[in-house]
Amino acid sequence: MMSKLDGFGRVRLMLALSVVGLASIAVTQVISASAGTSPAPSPPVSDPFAAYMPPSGPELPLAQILTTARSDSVRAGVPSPSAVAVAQGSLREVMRTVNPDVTLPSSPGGGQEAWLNSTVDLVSMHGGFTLHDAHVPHGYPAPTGSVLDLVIDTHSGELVGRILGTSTPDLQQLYLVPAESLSAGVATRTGLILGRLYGVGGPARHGRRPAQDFKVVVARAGRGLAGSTVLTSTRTSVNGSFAIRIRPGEYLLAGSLSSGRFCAAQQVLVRAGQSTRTTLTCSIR
Amino acid sequence: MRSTLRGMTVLAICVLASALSTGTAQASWGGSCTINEHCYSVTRWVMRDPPESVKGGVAFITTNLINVPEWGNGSFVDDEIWVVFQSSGGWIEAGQTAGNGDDCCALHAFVAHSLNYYFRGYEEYIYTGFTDTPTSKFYIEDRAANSNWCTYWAEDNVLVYCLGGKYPAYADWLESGIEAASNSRPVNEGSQEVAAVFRDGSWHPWHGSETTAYGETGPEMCITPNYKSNSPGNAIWWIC
Repeated sequence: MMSKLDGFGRVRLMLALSVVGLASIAVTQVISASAGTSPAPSPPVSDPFAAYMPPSGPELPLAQILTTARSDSVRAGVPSPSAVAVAQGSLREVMRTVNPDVTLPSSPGGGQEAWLNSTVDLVSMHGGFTLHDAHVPHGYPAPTGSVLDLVIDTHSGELVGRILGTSTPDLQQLYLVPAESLSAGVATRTGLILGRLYGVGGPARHGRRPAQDFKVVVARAGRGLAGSTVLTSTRTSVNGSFAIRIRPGEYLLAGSLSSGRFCAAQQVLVRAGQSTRTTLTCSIR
Repeated sequence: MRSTLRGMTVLAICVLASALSTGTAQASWGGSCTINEHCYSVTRWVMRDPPESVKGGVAFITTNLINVPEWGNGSFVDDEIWVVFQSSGGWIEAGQTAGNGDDCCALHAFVAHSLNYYFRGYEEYIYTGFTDTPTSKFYIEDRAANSNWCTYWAEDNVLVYCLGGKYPAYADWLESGIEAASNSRPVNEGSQEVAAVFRDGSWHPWHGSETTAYGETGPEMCITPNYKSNSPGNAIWWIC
């Protein structure tokens, strides 16, 4: 195209492009200035985390996470670690749990936010560990310790972090996987709650009958339903039955009325790879 | 038939030569550098006259080549900076790494530090899932001089990690360069431009550092002043 323009034409074209460019910059700056009151965190211009993509797909089986952890334990000189425990949480939660002296950007936005919010497994093990492959200054020996904590991405299986110390982190702050779920041959992440919800009472003083299309909610045990975060929910079928697949642990389970009131809650224990049966009842006025 | 035999002979010689050259390289490297005996090419400034100390260190790292063939067993190569506290023996480090059971050649940023007592305890995070750029900037500083040591990363000084209350407000040992931990010879080549952050926040060259040729732990590791940016502490390093 340029070959078809004479010299004067080229000058005019370049002038026109310059004007368009300047106008574009001015508009951008006005937009930026007007957006300056937004409280939302904005990632830095050259966000080094920008390329981070949270791993997609299903969570890896617990057995695979444990295999990775044991491989690292072997490398650290302990083929059979004791007191192996696994908990799950966001990377941010895990980093704070394993070392309360660490502080992280509260809401950095962008890729760093996604990175800190990624789901990881924390595998904690006891033994006489030596990290020969630790990154240490010249002249320093390999670090040693009796508790090795491994931070493993739940989806990709990549080892994100290692902490070698002498004290076990407070795994209760995270989602603790029950010990029985870690035994050989089980190592699965979920169990099944199979239940049936019945309604009693009501205007006609009916007897117990299956409650159809009622909401059933699940919350963590130990805190009571009021004010607790609902972990998951489902609705009952025509015969009042329901099924919920969830991680092993202790839960509170209850029917929920349209008014928002919870029916009497039941505590259930879910074991990995097993189903737990329960019966719920809702009293209707 | 004769041409086939000739071809096989040539192939055998090539394979033998290749095996011999590889064997020689590994023997030389393995003589003093293994996954358990790390090798270094570093510039180090150990401050000797108290109260000489700084409130941080900065390293602009450029990694031109990196390859850790035995990455699967945890071998790694780092191009990085350390900030060390002589009183406790503790340290904080940040930089780029490859290997670590992840990949031979992908560069990842990382942070690591000792825990609360000498030679015992350690914590590291490697930013897997995405790669770092070949040229990257790392700042380890206690900007408020209140024993809250933070690591910042990249062009925009992005805060990534802070560690509070474990170390003094000022550090008295800066170090930067390569750390290699592998049983077979990895590949690494790059350069560093460094600065010390003085108590008033100003940046200064590492005037007291041991520079030229320091860190040649054997025939494996090499380091020279950075002729493109010739200031104390700056260096070019490679695995020879």
